[in-house]
Amino acid sequence: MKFKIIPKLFLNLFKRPLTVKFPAESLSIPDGYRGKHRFLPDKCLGCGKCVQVCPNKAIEMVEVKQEDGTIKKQPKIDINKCCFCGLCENVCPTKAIRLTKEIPFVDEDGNAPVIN
Amino acid sequence: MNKDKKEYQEFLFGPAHPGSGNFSVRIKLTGEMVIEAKSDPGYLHRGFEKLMEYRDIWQNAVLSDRICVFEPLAWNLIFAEAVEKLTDIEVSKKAKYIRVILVELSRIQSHLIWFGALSSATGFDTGLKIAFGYRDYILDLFSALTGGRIYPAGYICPGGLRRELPQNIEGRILKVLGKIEQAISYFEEEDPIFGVRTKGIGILKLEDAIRLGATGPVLRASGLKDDVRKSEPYEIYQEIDFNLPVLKNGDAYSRFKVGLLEMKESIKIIKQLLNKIPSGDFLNKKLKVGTTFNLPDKEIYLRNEIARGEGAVYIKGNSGPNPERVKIKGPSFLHLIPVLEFLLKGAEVADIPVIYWSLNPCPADMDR
Repeated sequence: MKFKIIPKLFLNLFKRPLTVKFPAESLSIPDGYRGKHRFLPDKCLGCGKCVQVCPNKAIEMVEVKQEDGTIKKQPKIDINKCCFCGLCENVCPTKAIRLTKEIPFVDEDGNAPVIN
Repeated sequence: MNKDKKEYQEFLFGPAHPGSGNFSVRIKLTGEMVIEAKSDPGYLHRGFEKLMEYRDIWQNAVLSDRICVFEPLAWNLIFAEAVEKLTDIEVSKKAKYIRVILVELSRIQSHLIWFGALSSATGFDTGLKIAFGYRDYILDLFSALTGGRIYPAGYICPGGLRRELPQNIEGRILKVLGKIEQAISYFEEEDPIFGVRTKGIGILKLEDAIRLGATGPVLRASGLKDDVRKSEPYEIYQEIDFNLPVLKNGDAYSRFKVGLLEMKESIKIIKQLLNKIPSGDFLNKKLKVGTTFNLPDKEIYLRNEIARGEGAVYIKGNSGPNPERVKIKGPSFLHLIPVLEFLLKGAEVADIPVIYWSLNPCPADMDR
């Protein structure tokens, strides 16, 4: 039993490491991964269903001034509070909110990232 | 001995000890021997039972992940089943098959953590690395299936599942099972030092196990053939052919061995189901994820066999969308307070981590 380890050691010499050098290369992320949100303001109706369903109260409705001067209500997502459950994606009637495969979402300045 | 001096020393095992995991035990020692041990829980209390009273069913399904970090899918299933029984929601056969496959995969990865932690407690760090390395293959599967490596965010939800299975996942699951079988073969090559550190340590006799309320692998390692999957079958367990591994010694080594055999049984269960997944809806057609509904003015208590023992949920509705009262019963509560205190009495200091981890505890489901 003691010497069983030696052939395994030699075999391991020819194996590639399982880890990758992260920012340069990345492991493949499967479809349907619950990562950072993508929000399309043009599609949003301002119905507020995402605000109701959010378990962590990470979404609030804010008034945003449009280019033509009108004011429209749309959600503001606080990533710090988000638990990435994807319920907002499920209830959105126009698919304005989607969760993407994007993982690194920390600001370089250390600010609280907010999607608006 | 000087009369002014105390006859014993007192110290804390945990909560900052790397081998204790957010849990602490107050220990009194004379020399190397423990004369009294008192569990000191509460470092991981998050108040789930109260939080659930302020959330609707879908939000609670997401929250039920977090009850136990090691097996979120199993807690998802208990919560979903309780809501289904309460509101008479039907689940398709397809969803039931996928649920059982996922819960058994979750059991395997939870047992791998157990062996990792137990190896580390005996000073066998290679075991920890092998176990956690192989567990990652299962986490990759979860990430493809549920969208998250650890937390499935209520993937098993009331009425079925939150989304469809990805294509060609069966082949991937089979490949991962092959890898896990390889890991089990490593664990079966008995390391003599591991044997010395675990054999005859922390013996829990059958009458003590029953008296103190042990469940799951801990009870089966003491010699009682009892499992909710057999005694009160839920989902499709009555159609599946599997055995219950039972050992008689009741020491740390038997508990390790029972877990190892259980992993083999889980692999057997998944292999039986993989090729037979029927076609159908993944979610009940009357339901839509995120669209809430009222709970009737009834109550339910439902139990399941999760990796560490018997987990249960009690829900009482009051004709509104939020439950009036939720009670969560995790298996670790009884394992970490009465059983651990009983086993530590008379043990040696060096055996404390071994006894602690041989019970497969999860302070998260205990403190809730």
